[in-house]
Amino acid sequence: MATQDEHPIEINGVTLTLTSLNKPLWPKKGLKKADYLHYIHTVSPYMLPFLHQRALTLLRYPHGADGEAFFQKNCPDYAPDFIHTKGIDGIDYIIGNGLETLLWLANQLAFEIHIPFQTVQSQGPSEIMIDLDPPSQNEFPMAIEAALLLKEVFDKLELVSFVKTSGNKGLQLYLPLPENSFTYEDTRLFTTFVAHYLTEIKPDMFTTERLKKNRGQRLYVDYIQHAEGKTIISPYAVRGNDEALVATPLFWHEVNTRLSPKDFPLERIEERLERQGCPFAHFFEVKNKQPFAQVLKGLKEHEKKGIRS
Amino acid sequence: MHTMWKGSISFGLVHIPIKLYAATESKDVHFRSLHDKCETPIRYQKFCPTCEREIEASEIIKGYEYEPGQFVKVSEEEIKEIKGEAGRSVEILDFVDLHEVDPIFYNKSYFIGPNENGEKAYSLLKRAMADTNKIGLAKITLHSKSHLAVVRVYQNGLLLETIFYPDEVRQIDQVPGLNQVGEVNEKELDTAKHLIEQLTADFEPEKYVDDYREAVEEMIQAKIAGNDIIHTEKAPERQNVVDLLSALEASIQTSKTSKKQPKQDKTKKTAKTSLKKKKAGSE
Repeated sequence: MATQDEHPIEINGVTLTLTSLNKPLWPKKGLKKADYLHYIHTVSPYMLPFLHQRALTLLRYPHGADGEAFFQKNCPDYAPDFIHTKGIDGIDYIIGNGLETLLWLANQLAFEIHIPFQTVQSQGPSEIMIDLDPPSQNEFPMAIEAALLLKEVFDKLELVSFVKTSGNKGLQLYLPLPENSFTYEDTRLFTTFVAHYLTEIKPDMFTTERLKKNRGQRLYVDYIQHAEGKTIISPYAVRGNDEALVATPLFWHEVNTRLSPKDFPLERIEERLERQGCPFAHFFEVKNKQPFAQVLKGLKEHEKKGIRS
Repeated sequence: MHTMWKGSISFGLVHIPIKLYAATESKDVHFRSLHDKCETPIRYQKFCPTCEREIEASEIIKGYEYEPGQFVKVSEEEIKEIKGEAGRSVEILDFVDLHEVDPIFYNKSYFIGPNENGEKAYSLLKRAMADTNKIGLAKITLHSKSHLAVVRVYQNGLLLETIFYPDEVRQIDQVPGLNQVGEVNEKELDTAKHLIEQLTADFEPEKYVDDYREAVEEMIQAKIAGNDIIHTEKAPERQNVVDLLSALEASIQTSKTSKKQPKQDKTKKTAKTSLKKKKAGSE
């Protein structure tokens, strides 16, 4: 029984009903559910490669950005048949394959889509991610500084790196890796190295301290975040904050002192993609070209010398 | 806001239809108890050790233990009879000054809102109490228990605070050591007063937050997102990471100039052998 507020659409041979299109989702910005679904449809070609074969963790905002949100890992019983799932440790995760899945999730008001660092069939991580998390938006320049310092390190090591905003107050760096080649222990060795690199050259600005109260006004380099079973917000997923900020892929030349975490709200992304394309377009192409094995070998030799406890 | 109670305030011949709303809430983080092996929420059973079986609700009666092991049975009907009709009114008995009621008496606070057709009388009572600076002492039955309560003006409305009955408040005389309070040295007293004056501030409740609850909530949110908090690893001995970077950089350059190896296969092998089956989220 289709009411006025139900809009059946057909995608990839399945029928999906979009509902409540006039529902305000970011009332302060006047963004409605129709705007959100349009946004997701627009970014889907750029977002879906990151969701493909990944077990999703969702943060749903059933009453819009102003209301309560809840995490969802288990696929609900009422999910349509075209939603694929995969059982991992007793949880029936939704797998992010296909536009129909993404639009169904968007219609369920999943805003933040969090993804693990590997696909369901990979052995080990598919990429490395380093989370640069300043104490608040005011200290965003610290994240910029850390990102640029690390970019220099990655360039020296001839590793191709990518950067995105977190949609909150920080930046997140990525190094794509060849599939089934490294373990999380390997990548931990590397993330530990880069975190200590930052804290060693600027101890008053960067910290690896897990406890918030001990961090002070320093930027937290979250190198522990990159591990099996952990997740990070997907590129192009939107936050349930008032500004509807998107976790936005950036070009490295955009990472400079003029960059602000508030530059990328949902309504600006479409024009941005049209004008300059997606900065993560070559993400998957560089996977097999990274000299990570060589870097890792160096780190392991260093470790063997017993300098690290 | 959720209505907890509907009824009226009565004083003299005036009845004001009102609703009560909880004015405070405890924000403790609630944990459930799970069986560690299968992570199932555990269930409490009502068990009779004599009959050695689980007892159903319909089989349970109340008894008062007047000496150990000796009970008199009391039925629900008998209790109901004593309670009488659960009143639907806040009956104001007296008006007193706020400072006469020591904070120790206060138990729980409820906002009073006017119910339909009560708005005018509500404003009248509020204004009259504000102008005379009085608070009403009242009786009210809430959750089938009779309470003593205070009705007072709070910001732009009225507030009802249940208070303890006098015999529910313990005597401070029973605290050990209070009678042995020694002589007060005048000089020390002046210093102490001076210190108090220095530390005197306006009460700004926004300044105080529940750090413990915030930390617990942060930890739980992180766990839900799959980012389990783990305790800070002891920072490794300070090492010269910058030097290490140079060494790595040099090795990349050498490997580029030296003969190409089938890198991919080699790494694959090491990856497989060192891959450990780890439970997701166990780190």
